[in-house]
Parts: sequence; structure tokens; C-alpha cells
Amino acid sequence: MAICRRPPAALVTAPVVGLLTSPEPTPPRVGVLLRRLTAWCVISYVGPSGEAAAWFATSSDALGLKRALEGGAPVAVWVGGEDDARRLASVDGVIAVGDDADVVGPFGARGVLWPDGVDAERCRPVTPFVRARWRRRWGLPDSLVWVPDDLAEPPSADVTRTAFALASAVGIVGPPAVEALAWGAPVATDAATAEAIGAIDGQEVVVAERAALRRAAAQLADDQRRGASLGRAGRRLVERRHDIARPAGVLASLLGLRREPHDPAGRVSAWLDELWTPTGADIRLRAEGHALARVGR
Amino acid sequence: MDICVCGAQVPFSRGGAELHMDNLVAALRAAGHRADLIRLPVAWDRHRALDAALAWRMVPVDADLVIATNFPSYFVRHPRKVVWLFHQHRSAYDAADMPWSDFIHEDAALEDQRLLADWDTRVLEEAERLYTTSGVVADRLLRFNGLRATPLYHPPPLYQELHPGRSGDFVFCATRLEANKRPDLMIEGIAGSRSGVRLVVAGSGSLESELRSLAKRLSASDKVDLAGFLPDDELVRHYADALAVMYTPFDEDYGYVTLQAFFAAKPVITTKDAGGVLEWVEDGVTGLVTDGTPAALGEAIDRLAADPALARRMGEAGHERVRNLEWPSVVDRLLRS
Repeated sequence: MAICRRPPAALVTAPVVGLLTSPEPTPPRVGVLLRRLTAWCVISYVGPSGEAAAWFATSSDALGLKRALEGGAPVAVWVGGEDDARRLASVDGVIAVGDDADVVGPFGARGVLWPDGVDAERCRPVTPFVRARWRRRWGLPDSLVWVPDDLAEPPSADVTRTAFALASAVGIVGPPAVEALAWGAPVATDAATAEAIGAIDGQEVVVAERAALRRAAAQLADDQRRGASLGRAGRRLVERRHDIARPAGVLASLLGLRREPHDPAGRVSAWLDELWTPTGADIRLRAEGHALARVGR
Repeated sequence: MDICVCGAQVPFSRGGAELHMDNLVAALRAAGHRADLIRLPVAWDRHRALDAALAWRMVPVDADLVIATNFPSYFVRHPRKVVWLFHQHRSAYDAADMPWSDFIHEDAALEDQRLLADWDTRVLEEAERLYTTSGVVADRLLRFNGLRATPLYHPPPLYQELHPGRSGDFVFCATRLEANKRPDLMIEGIAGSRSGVRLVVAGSGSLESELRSLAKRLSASDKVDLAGFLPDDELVRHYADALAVMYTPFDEDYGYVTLQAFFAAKPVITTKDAGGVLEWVEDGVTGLVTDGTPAALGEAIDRLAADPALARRMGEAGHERVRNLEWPSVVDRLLRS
């Protein structure tokens, strides 16, 4: 499991959250949550006998959990099902994190519900004019309207992602519309989808009857100004409501972590995070590397 | 109120943007505020342009309000940020396909372009009010970033000194002699004119010797006067005495030349791809909008030379368009809470 993609040295004076794991596979979304948590702390396998400002266990039977609970530092546990919940129900102070409201609900204020969503950090918003240049780069048509329902076979995840990033406009219904919006695609969808994802016709999406989806998307593809406006607002909707890592802030607060940069390098990281700068971006490597050099690491 | 105007600095360069910032600070001070100009250097290659943008995020600016102007100064962080956008990093946007842009069709460059567009959008969204210098800039912002902004027009330098004069025997332009201003087009236009009218160009730039060669090649040296830098009083006199003003830039953001021409009650000859110039020049009303060919420019010059009364009428119509432009109302709009 990739936990901390950011150079740990950049936040080396930040609090350390000890990671406790069990032999069972960890749900992929836990990795996403922990990655986002690195904006507040360093996550490290310090071992059950190590020292940490707080702990995160990937299940209720993680090695070292008992000892961590006795130590007095805040402890969060991924609650993957009712068995986990039962084991933890009587443990004072434990923070329960999970994706099932029925399982997390009984923990009250110590429960962090982590519903399904899109990993917005991994979907890089692409505005219509940059999409057009990418298409030219790869010899794709000037106008590319993507309506997956029109395809004979369901496209692979990679093809779908590429289409969301490069299409002039997307005509799509159902939950995948959220990922299209995360990539900043101009989206035409049906009324039911718009309502379900909290999008407003003309603001974040264009609403059309399913039979007219391709035509609506094609019109959108021809209107770069409208596409840019919808794409921007759609992306913000995802960041506000559908980003899978949104609960990271709640969890950080319960773990007693403050989002306060702890040294110059940490501040640079925070500024870059604020602008949603990807982890591997050249500018991030340059700026963080420079800041680290300045503080003598 | 303590107000910091934020702008980019291109070392050793001084043009319209610098005048604009200075005049804004002066107007804020005239309105009774404490105002200061903060500038940080910028470079235009894509890596250092991003570095320069990030640098603005780090600068502590203690003021009641900041007014950010051009790229990348609008990256400044402040709880009360007003943006009056002169322009973005044009090499990443409307000029991305120009030969001088390094946002080329290559993966890393396209990712930088994507990132810069995303950064721009986010930091411009932080503004409590978003203005642009012209409708052209507002349109680019909508087209490229999906953001709506309000054009806020302001008077050009020397607007209080400029005045109408006699209709002379030359067309005038005050511009830098650089490729984006297309001074070569004006020379080709005057070379095609049959009226005997001359072209006087005030300003300097890297194309000066090329332009002299061009005039010679077109047998138009006697019709072209590259006058170099002119002091303000000379500039005002040239505007006043010209038959008309010719200005043929490519997709100009705003274009002080047009406004200065109108304050001097002169019509403007331009091209249909001149950008912000076309927000002021209405074909047949305040000037002549050509298709941009040298022949059409020559014909436009000849038309005004043959009919000075028409030139005067158009100049007066232009003057009418700009006579309400003044700094106090601009300051009011910028500071309106």
C-alpha cells in the first residue's frame, strides 16, 4: 500500500501517526485516506513499541492495536464490517472510520463515515482548450464527443479515464458522471443523474433526455466558453461533495492534528496542496527540493 | 485605506502595463488612500513562469486590500483581493501556438499548460471582485478558464493633455517596434497608399532596422518616418496634427494608442484581428476596420486623405466614445464593497 507519496522529509517535524496493520489486505480507499492525511502529519510504520502522536489501524485485529489503545494517544481504526464494530464498541475513545453508515453510526461523534466517491486528486482537471491541444498532439479529431452508452462494449477503465480527460464533451448518465466532472469535462447528463449528484442544469452540467444526450454533448463541444464554465463548476462540485478524501479533515481533527506547516518546506508543500498541485509535478519537486535545501536537509 | 497594487516586473522593460500600474497607484492616492506598488520579477519560459507564480503565494502583503493586475501577481494571497486583470501568461493561452511559446505539443509542456490553467482558475476565483482591462481579456478568461469578469475601462496616459488640432498630412502611431504590434503591416499599408500621406511612428524596438529595410525595399523610405522615442509634449503634438492614427497590432489586450487617438479626436485605421482595439473602433463611425491586407490599409489611408471632413467626423465620434473615461470612477469600481 502506498501511504506517503510526498517526501516525508518535507514534513519531518510534523506529528507522526503510527500505522498499525493486519495480515489481511487493506481496502484501497484506506490508502487514499492516508495519503490525504499526510497534509497534516507523517504516517509511519513505527512499530507497536514506537512512539506516535496518534495511531491508525487498518482493522480491529491490527498488530499493536491493544498497546496503542493503552497508550493514551488518539487511535483511529478502519471498521470494515460488523465484526470490527463489535470488537471496538466497548473501547473508550477509539475513532471508527468506515464506509458503512450502519456500522459507523453507533460510534456517534467518534465515527467518521467515508462514503464512496472519486479520488479528485488523481483526476487532473483539463480545460477545453488544453483538451483540444492534447487531441491535436495525439492525432485525435478536433471535436471528440464521448457517449459511452452508444458503444457496443463497455470501455475499459483506462479508455474511460482518457476519454474523460480529452473529450470535447461527455454525454453520460449514472455515477460515472462524477468522475467525468472531476476531470473537468463538459458534461451532458439526464435529470435523474443531475439530481443524484447535486448538479444544476446550466451551472455544472447540461441536462437532456437520454435519447438526446449525444446531441446535447455535441452542442457543448462546439461552445468552448460554455464548456469551460461548466467544466470548472463541475470540478468544484466534485471537490465539495464527491471527493473520496473529504473526510480526511474530520479524521485529522479527531486525531488532534492541526494543519499548520511546521517548517519552511512544509509551508511550501501546503501552498502547493492548496492549488491541487499533483505529487509528481515538476514545480512541486523543484519548490520542495529547494525549500529542503534551504533548511539544510 | 492601505492598498497594495501588485504587478509583475520584467527587468529593463517599461511599457503600457507599467504606466497602467503607476497611474492606478496615483489615482488611489488622489482618492485619499495610502497606496503602494509591489512588483516581483517574472520570466516567461514555462518553468520559471510557474516558479514566479508560486513566489507570489509566499509573499506576505500587509494591507487592507490588494489589487492584483497581470500574471503572475494575481497569485498573491490576501483575504481581500481584487483582480483587475491586464493579461494572463499569453504564451500558455491565446499565443500557445505562436513560435515564441514554449507550451509546445509535447507531454510535459501540455501538462504544465494544464497545471497553469488550473492554478490560474483557482487563484482568480479567490478574488472578491474580478475585473479585466477590456472585453477581449474578459472573453479569454471565459474561454480558457470558465470565469466571468467585468471589463473596467480606464483612460490612457496623457489623456488630460491630448487635444484635437489641425488635420495634417501624416498618419501617426506610437508603438513599440515589436512583432506583436505588426509595424511592418503599417509600412506595407503606407507603401500602397497613393495619396502622398506619410506614416510617422514614435517608439523603438527590436525591429527598427528591419523596418527601415522594408521601407527601402518597398520604395517607401520617403513616406516612412521612424521617429524613435518622443517626449510627451511631442507625442501630444503629433496626435493633434495627424490626419488619422493607424494601429494594427495582433489581438491587443487594450491598446492605449486607440484611446489616445480618440482623446485627440482622430479616427483610427486598424485591422479586423486587432483584439481590444475593436472594442472602440467601429468601422465607418470612429475609424476604418480593414481586412488587414496592405492594399486595404492603403485604401483606408487614401479614403481619409481624400475626405478630411470624414476623418474629422470620425475623430469627433471617437472623442465622444472616450470622454467619460476618468480615473475616479475606476477607483470607485475597484473599491466598491
